[in-house]
Amino acid sequence: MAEHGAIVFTDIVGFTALTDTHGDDVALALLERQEEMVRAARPLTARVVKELGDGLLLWFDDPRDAIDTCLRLQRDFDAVNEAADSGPLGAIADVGNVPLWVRMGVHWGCPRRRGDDIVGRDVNLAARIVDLAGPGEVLCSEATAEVIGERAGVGFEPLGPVFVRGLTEPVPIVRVLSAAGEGCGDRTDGRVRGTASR
Amino acid sequence: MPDLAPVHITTRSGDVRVLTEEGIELSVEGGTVEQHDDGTIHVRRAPSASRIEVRCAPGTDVTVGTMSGKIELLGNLGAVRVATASGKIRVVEAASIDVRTKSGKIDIGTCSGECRIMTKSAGVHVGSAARATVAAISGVVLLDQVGGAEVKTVSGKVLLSLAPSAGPVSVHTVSGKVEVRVPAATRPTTRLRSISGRIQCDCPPGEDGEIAVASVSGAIRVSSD
Repeated sequence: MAEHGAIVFTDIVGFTALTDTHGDDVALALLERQEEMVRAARPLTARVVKELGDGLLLWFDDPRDAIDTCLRLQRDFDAVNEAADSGPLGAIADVGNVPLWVRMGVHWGCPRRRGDDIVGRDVNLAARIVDLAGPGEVLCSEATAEVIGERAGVGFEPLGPVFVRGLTEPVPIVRVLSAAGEGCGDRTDGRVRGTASR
Repeated sequence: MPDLAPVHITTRSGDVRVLTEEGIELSVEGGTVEQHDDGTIHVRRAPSASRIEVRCAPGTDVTVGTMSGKIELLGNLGAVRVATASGKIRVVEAASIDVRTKSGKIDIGTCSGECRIMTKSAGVHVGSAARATVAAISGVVLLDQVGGAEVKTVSGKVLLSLAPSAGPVSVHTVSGKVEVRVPAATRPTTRLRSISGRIQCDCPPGEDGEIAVASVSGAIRVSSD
C-alpha cells in the first residue's frame, strides 16, 4: 500500500571526478563517511532505503524530520570539512584531505513500495531536485515546503518553476535555509514562506 | 513606484530574451501570459514560437526555467533566478542572482547583491558582485571585482579579483589552481593551505580582509594589482 512520506536523495558533489583523480580508496572512504554520518543523524522514523553510486536514498515518515535532519547533516559536514581545514596536514588521511561536499534533495510524495525499495514519479522528482543543488545545499519541492508550513529555525527561498528531465511540466523548487542562513523567511515571490526564529 | 509583479518564464527549449524599458508594464512576444493569484506573471513559450522575448520595467524580479537554449537577461533587473540544463546564460545587471545549470557558459555583468552560481561544468564569469557564491565541478571560474566570495570547485581553475575593501574570501578546490588578486597596497590576512600544490603570496600581511584558500593539489597564488 502506498503512503505519504519525504523522499530524500543525498549526493556527493564531484564524486566521479574525485574518484578519477584520487582513486577508489578515497572514493570508498568518502562514501563510508557520508553513510556513517547519515545513519547517525537519522531519527527512528527514517530509514536508508538504499545506497546509490555516490549517495543515499532515504525515507522519512515526517517531512519536518526530513528537513531538520538534512539541515543538521549539512552543519555536520561543514564541521568535518572545517576541522580538516584547520587541523594538521594529512589529519584526515583516509579521505586524502578531500572535502566531503554533499547536496540534498527532498520531495514529499506517495511512492509505491517494491520490497524495501520505493519507486515512482515522486522518487524520480526527488532525484532530479538533488541534481539542481550545490554543495552544502538542501533543495525541496514547493509541495514539501507547503506540507511543512511555518517551522521555527527553517526558512524557504523559492527558486521558481524548473524543468527537470523526464517530467513534462515545470516543478516549483525551493531552497531550504537554516535560521543561521541569510535570507531566511524572505519572500519575494511564490507562496512559500518560512520563519527565521529558532 | 508601484509594486512590480514578478515574472516567471518557462520553456523546455528555445531562447529566452528579457529586456527592460522605462514606463512599460509588460510586453511578451512568442509566449502566453497568465497571472496567478499570488500576483506572479507566468509566461510560457507559445507552441509556434522558437523564442520568448519579454520587455518589463527595470527592477522586475525574473525567474527563468528551461532545459536548453540561450538565456539573455538584458537591462537592470531585480532578483534573477535561472535554472536550466545547458545553454549560454547572460545577465547584464541585477539586484541578486541565482543561476543553476549543468553546462554551457555563464556571463554575469553586475550584481549589486548576492550572486549565487551552481554548475557542473559551465565556464563562469562575473564582472562585479557585492558577494559571489560559486560551486562548480570543472570549468574556469573568473570573478572580477567581487566584494567577497565563497567558491568551491573540484577541478576548475579559480581566478578572483577583489574589489577595494572586500569582505571575507573563501576558496576550496580539490585540484583546481587558485589565483587571487587584491587591490594595490592591500594587506590581507591570509590562510593558504595546499597538500601538494605550490603556495605563493606576494602581499604583505595585515588586516585588510581575510582570504582563506584550501586545495588538495592545486597551486595557490595571492598577489596585488
